[in-house]
Amino acid sequence: MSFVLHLPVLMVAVPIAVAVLISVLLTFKRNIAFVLSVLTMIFCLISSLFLMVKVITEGSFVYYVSDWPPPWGIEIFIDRLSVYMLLLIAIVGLISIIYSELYIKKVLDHQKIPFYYMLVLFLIGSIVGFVISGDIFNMFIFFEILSLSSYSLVAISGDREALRAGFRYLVMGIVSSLFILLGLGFIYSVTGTLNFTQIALRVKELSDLTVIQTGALLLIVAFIIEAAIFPLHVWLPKAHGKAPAPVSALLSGLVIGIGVFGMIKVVYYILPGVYPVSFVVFFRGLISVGIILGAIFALFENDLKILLAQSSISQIGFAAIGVFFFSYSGLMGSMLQLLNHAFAKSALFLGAGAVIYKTGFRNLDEMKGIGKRMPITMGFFAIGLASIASIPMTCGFVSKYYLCLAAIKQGLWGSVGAILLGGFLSLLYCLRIISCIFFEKPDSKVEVKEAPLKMLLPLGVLAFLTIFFGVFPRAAFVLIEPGVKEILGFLR
Amino acid sequence: MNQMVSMIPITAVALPFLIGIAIFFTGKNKKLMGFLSSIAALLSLALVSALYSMLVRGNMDVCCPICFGAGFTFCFRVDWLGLFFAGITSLLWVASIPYSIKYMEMKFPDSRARFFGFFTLSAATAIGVTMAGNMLTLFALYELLTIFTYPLVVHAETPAALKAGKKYLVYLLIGEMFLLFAVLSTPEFAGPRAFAKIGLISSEIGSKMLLVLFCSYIVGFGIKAAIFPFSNWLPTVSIAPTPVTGLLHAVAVVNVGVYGIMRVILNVFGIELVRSMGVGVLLVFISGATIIYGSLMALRQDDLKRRLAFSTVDYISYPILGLALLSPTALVGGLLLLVTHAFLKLSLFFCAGAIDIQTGKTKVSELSGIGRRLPFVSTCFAIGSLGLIGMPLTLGFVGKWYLWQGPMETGQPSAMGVLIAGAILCAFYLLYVVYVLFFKQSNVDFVCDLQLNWTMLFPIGAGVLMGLVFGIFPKGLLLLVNNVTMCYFGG
Repeated sequence: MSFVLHLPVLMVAVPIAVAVLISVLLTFKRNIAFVLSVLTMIFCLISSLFLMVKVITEGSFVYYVSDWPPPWGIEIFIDRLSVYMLLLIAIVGLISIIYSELYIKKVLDHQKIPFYYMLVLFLIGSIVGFVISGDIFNMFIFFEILSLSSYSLVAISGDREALRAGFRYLVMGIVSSLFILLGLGFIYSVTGTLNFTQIALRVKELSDLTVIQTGALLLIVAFIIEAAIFPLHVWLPKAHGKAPAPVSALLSGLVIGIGVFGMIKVVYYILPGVYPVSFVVFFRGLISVGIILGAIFALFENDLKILLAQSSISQIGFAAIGVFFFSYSGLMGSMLQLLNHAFAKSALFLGAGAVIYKTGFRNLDEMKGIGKRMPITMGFFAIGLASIASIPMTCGFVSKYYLCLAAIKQGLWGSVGAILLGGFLSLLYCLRIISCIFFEKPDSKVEVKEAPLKMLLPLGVLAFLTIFFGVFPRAAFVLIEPGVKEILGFLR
Repeated sequence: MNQMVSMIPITAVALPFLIGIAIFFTGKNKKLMGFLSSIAALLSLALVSALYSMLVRGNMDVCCPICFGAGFTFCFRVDWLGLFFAGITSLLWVASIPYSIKYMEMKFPDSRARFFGFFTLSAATAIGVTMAGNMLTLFALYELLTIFTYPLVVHAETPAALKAGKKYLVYLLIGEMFLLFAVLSTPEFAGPRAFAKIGLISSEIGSKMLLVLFCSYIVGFGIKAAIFPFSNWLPTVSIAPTPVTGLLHAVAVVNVGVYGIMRVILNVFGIELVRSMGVGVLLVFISGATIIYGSLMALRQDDLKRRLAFSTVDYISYPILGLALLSPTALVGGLLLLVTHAFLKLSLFFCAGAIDIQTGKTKVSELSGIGRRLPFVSTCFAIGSLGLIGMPLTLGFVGKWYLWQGPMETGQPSAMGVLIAGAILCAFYLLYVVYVLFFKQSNVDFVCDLQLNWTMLFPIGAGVLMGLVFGIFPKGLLLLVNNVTMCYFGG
C-alpha cells in the first residue's frame, strides 16, 4: 500500500498536467477535453477513496516531496479532515464536470470549450494542493492558481455582466492574496519558517505574540474574503450568479468552503491558541451578522442564481462560525455544514442551470409552476432546498443541530440567536422558492420538458447524497469525528 | 416495567411514510392511488393496535433506538400517553380516507397524487411524533409535519391559499425556532429512551433558566396547539380542502401540539417541578384565555369552516387546561375531551364539506332550510354539536364531568368560571348553526344536483356514532385514559 503515500501529490499533479495537455491538444482535438477531464476526476475520486482507507486505518501521515525533509523540502500533511475535503472535492468536481458537457455546449462558443475544461482542472488541482500542503507558502501559491482560474471561469462567457463580475472578484481576490503574503511575511519574520509544525514549535518559545497575532489576523481576513463572509462578501453574488451553472456549483460548493477550511488551517494547525478573546468575539459577531444578512438578501432576490449565491453567504457563515467556537460540537457542525453546502448548494446551482438550459428563465417570476413541467428536476432541486433550509432528515439539519448545540453549551447567546434566526430565514426563502415553482399558476404557456438524463443524473446523485448524510450522518463521522478530536488536540 | 426492543414503532411510521412517497409516482392511476392511501392508513392502524395489545399484555414499553453518532440519537418508544394520541390519529385517518377520496374527486380533480402523497406523509409523521422516544426525534418529526402539511394548505393554488400557506409557515416555524432552542438546551433529552424517565431536567440550572426553557417549550408546542396569542393561523388555513382541515388541522396537527405540551410537563419537567415552579397557573391562564378568545371569535364567523376552526382553537385548550390544573381527574377529563373533539369535530368538518359539495354554500347565513334537504348530514351535525357542548349520553359530557372536578379539587375558582363561560359560548356558536339548518325559513330555493354516496356519509356517521357509543359506554376508554394518568400521578 506504499503507493497510497504518493497519491496526494498525484491528485495535484494529474489535473494540472491534464489541463496543460488539453491546452496543447485544443487546436485539433476538441471533444477529447471532456473525456480526459472525466477520467482525471475519476482518478481523483479513486485516489481519495484509497487515502480515506489509509487514514481511517493508520491515521494521519506526513509526506516529503522527493524525500526532502523540511525546512528545505515541501511537506504534505494528510489527516482525516483533509481527506474528507479531498473526497468532497472529488465528488462535486466529478459531478460538475459530467453535468458540464451539455450545458457548456449550449452557453459557450465552440472554441472556448477546451479552455473551460482546462480551467476547471486547474481549479480542482489547486484546491487539492491548497488542502494538502503542509506549509503556508505552498498554500499561498495554490491559492493564487485557485483564484486565477476562478476569475477566468466566472468571466468565461465573455458577456458584459460576467466580465464585470469576474473583474470585481479579481480585485477582491488580489487583495486577499496580498493579505496572505503579508501575513506569512509577518509570521516568517518572527519564526523563520513557513512549515506548519515548525511554526507551532517556534511560537511556543516566543514571549511576545503581537507579531504572530497580526500575521494570523491578516491570514484570517484573507480567508474571510475568500469565504465571502460579511462585510467582505460583496463580490460573491454577482460572481456566482453570472458564472455558468456548473462553475457556480464548483465555486459555491467548494471554493468558499475552501476559504473556511483555510481558516481552520490557520486557527488550528498553524497558529493554535494565540488568539485573544476580543479577536474571537469580533469574528463571531461579524459572521453572525453575515448569516442573517445573507438570508435577508436572499429573501428579497428575484434572480434565482443570485438568490442562491446570497444564500451561500448565509450558509457559509454557519460553517465559519463553528470554527470560532473552539469546541468539539462546533467543529463537527462546521465540517458537516461544509459537506451539506458542497452537496446541496451544488445541486441547487445545477438545478437552476437545468432550468436555464431548458427555458432560459433566470427570474423566479418566470419560473412559476415550472415544477409541474419538470417534476423530477425540480424534485431534486427541492431536496437541495430542504437541506439548505435544514429540514430534518437532510444533512443541513445535522450540521445546524451541532452548531447550535455548541453555542448553547458555551452560553454564547448571540450566536445561538444568529443560528436559530438564520435557520428560520433560510426556511422562509427556501419555501418562497418552493411555493413559487410548485404552487403558483404559470403566466406563460411555454412547453417545457424534463432536463436530459446527463444533467438529471448528476443532480440526482447530489440529492441522494444530501438525504443519505441526513439519515446516516454516521457515514461522515468516521472521518470527521477522530479528525476533529485530533485538531482540537493541537490547541493544548 | 418490563422493557422490550421491538421494530414495530418504527415500522408503524416508516411503512406508511414509504407508501406516501410511492403515491407521488402513481400519476394518473387513480385506483392505485386510492388503494395505496387506504393501505397506508390501515397498516398504521393495525400496527398501532398491535402495540396496544403488547402494552396491555406485558405492560412494557417498546423501543428501538437508532444511534446516528455521539449525541445524535433517533429513537422510537411507545408508552400509554403516546399510544393514546397515536390511536386517535390512526383511527380517524382510516375513517377519513373514503371521504377524502370522494371529496377530492369532486372538488379538486387536479394533482391528486400530490395531495394524497402529502396527506399520507403528514398523517404518518403525526403518528410518528407521538411515538418518538426522545426530544430530538420528536422535534425532527414535528418540523417535518409542518413542512408536509404546507403543500396541502396551498393545494388550491389560489392567491388566497398561498397567502394562508405563508401565514401558516411563519407562525409554525417561529414556534419551531423556540422549540429547537429548548431541545438543544436540554441535551439529556436527545439520549436514547429519554421519555422513559420522568423529570430528567435538573433544577440546578437556576430558576430563571428553568422558566426560559419552560416558556420556550410552551411557545414551541403551543403555537401548533393554537394557544391564545398564536392561534390565528388555524382559522386562516381552513381555506385548505376539507379533509385537511378535518383530519390534520382539527385532529392530527393540533393534537400533536397538545401532546408536546403534555410531554414537556409530564416528562421533561415532571409534575413536581412544575408545581414547585408555580407555572401551572400561567398555563391555566393561557388556556383559559384561548377558550374565551376562540369561542368569542367563533360566534362572529359567518363562514362555516372558519367558525369550526375557531371552535377548534377553543376546544383544543380543554386538554391543556386539564393538564395545567395538575390534578389526575382534570387530566382524565382533558384527555376524554380530546377524544370527543377528535371524533366530533372531524364529523362536523366533514358535514361542512358535504354541504359545500352538495349545495355550494359555505356561509352560515346561507344554510337556512338545508336541514330538510340534507337530513342525514344535518342530523349528524346537530348530534355532533350537542356532543361537543357536553349533553349527557355523549362523550363530551363524560369528559366535562371529570374536567369540572379539577378546579374544585385544586381550588381554582377562576378556572371554574372559564369552564362555565366556555360551555355557554360553545352552545351559542354551535347551536346557532343547528338552528339555521333546521328552523330558519329559507326564501331561496336551490337544487341538489349531486348525490352524496355512502363513501362520504359513512365517515360522518361513524364519527358521531363513536361519540355516542363512548358516551354511553365510557368504561373502556376510561381505562385507557387512567393508564395514561397513572404513569405520571402514580395511581
